Amino acid sequence: MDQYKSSYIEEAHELIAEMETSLLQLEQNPDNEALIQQVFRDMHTLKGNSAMFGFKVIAEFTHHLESIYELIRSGQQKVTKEVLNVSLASLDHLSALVNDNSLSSAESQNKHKQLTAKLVALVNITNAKEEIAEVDNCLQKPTGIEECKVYEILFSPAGNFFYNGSNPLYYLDELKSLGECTIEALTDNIPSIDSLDETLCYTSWKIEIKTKVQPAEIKKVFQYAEHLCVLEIAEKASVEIAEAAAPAVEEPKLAAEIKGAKPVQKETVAAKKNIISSVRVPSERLDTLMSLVSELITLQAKLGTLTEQLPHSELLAVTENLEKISTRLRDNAFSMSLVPVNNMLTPFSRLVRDLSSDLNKEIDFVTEGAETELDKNIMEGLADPVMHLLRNSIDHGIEDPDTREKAGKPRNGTILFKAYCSGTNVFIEIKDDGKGMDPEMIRAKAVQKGIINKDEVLSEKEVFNLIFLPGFSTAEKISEISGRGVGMDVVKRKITDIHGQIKISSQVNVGTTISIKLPLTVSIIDGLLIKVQDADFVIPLSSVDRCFELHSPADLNHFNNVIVLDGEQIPFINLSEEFNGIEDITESQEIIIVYHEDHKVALVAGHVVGKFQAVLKPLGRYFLQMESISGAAILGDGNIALVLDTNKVIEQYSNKKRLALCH
Amino acid sequence: MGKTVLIVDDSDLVRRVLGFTLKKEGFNTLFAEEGKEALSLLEGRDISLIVSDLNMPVMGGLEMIKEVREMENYRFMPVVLFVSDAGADLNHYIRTSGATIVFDKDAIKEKLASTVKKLIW
Repeated sequence: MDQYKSSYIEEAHELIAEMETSLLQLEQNPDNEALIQQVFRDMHTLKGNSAMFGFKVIAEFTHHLESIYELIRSGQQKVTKEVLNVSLASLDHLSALVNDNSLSSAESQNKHKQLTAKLVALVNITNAKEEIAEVDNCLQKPTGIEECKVYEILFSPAGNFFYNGSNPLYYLDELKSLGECTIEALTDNIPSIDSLDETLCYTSWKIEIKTKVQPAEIKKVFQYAEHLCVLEIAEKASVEIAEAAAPAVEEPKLAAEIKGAKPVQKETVAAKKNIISSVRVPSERLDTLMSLVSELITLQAKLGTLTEQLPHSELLAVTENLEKISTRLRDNAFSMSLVPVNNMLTPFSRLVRDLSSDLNKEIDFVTEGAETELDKNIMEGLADPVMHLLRNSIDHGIEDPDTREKAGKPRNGTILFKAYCSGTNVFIEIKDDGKGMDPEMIRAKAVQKGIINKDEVLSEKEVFNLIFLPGFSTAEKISEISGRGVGMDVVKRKITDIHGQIKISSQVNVGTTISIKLPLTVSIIDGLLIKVQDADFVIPLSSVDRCFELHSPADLNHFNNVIVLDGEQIPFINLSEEFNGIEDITESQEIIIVYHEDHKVALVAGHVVGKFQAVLKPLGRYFLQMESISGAAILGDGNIALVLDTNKVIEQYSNKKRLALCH
Repeated sequence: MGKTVLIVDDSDLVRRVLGFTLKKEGFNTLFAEEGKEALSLLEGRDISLIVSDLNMPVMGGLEMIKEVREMENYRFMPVVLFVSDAGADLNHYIRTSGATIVFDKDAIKEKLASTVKKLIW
């Protein structure tokens, strides 16, 4: 049975999450019966499963919760805010219980008591008469009678005994488990063969049993047949009847019905076809699939290189086909690990709901583009930072209803969570219509904290970006909810971990928008393969704007590190100089324009080889310090190319320049 | 060849557990999510016993048993009904459901295998 415990836990968590979603929807439409039914059904299933697996505490607790919804279902109770609050709190508690069924800490014990009391109170308000049934007391234990007694039992099934599928022999078998039995079949009632109805039971049994148990226990064996038989149990020593069994041989309605009804040809029920539209696969298997596909792509690149070296017309055709198929395989494998953003939304709407009522704010959480799909690994990394951003919006962004009214806004604040696809990126936007941020205030704060100089010139965007620096927090008082000063820089780091970028824009009194740009996937990227002297590097294609050939090194203005392209002045970084410390002037050089935030920056490289599908492999711990390198990829010829994080390259470069200026 | 037991429950987990318990005892198992599906499975098969939940979507256990009892081939088939309400009156179900045996959901995991064995041995 134990092997099913983990399945039980998994399913319990799923049920709880499902209920949470339904409850939150129920809050919006409290009269939706389908939702109420859904919640009730889920609770019922959870209760049943818990009882089956011996999680008595959970079963009992869920039973109380279910009672409320039973009342709601029958229209005796309304879905009120109070009910929902208690229900949601109970779900949280259940979730904790599933993980730790023993109620080990005093805290959870208290919580359990409080919530149970609340639930019981809710049920009692509506239905004062109803008493919560105590959960089954353990079976009565046989009182310590040790000596064996002999009972004589007469078991005469009613004629229609077989009509509910019963089998008298089953009861005799059960009886044998209680003690030593001598069984005698009484067949006097069997009629002659021509008047015999083979569907009726004519036999009775006389059993002598030597047992330690009480007569009540013996009677219990027949509990399923009580209404279908005459049962007499007598202690043999004293002939008096120990406990007269109810000799009621009431004809059960059902049996009577069957007797009367002529056998009707049942209309054939069309066999329900089982079409399995989706399969659940453990995520480890998906990860394995992905890494295998990655290997395949690497191998395919190798084959491509070999074919180029040994051109052979048939081999070329095969290689080309293989490439096509492996690309499709890759795309397919990727789409498998894509999950709609919808999956992560429930905790968010829950957070908004709970926090806003804690802070006495009225906030609507609106979602858009919830069907947008995102790699599950990215989504996992996204949950925490988004949670934090939402907290910020609720705590600092949206004002109190009264303040809002004074500012001429509707009392209800709105937080919009929007997801959409654009190119090879997914964008997530969190937009609130709160008080917004004042660039002047941020600036003043940054100056005060010594993050920037008093007379440093910053664009509005750059000012907002200051928020993401470590040690910056504008919250005047540190509250539980946000503003612990670790906020935004951690958010930014987490987003960067999943190769995302975060941007912020805000207008005083209108609101703040935070937009997060994410790659579709983390493990395979389309890149540009370049050579810097003899080393191979890959630049993610998503950040590349254009490539140029550099006609003469003289075009590079070394004095202020600027190159003029199409009449535009663009700062440049010589990669060869950056990585090797020496300038490479011998070969012809090429220029790659990349985006850094909103600026263009030119990277000067030796030679652009071409487009390359890079399978990102993590580098070992010795490379952890190398921030500008985000991973490595294996080339077709077996060489290793390092994947550049252009943003980091540029940041490092400008940091170095800044330091050089200071000294 | 072991006998075939039809397991009817709307929880996938319960179906799997019961199925596992009975398979270990050498029974063949068939599964249905609710009463209607169960009835459609009965047609044309040799099923010896039904284990069913009481509360299910579409068609519940009581309704299903009623239908089963009206089928020519299955009117005497043993049916084990399990009821998950802790406070429910088992006796009431024993008398009226038409099921052969009625269990608490708690009891089922200890008693199911032995009961089924005795019923259709």
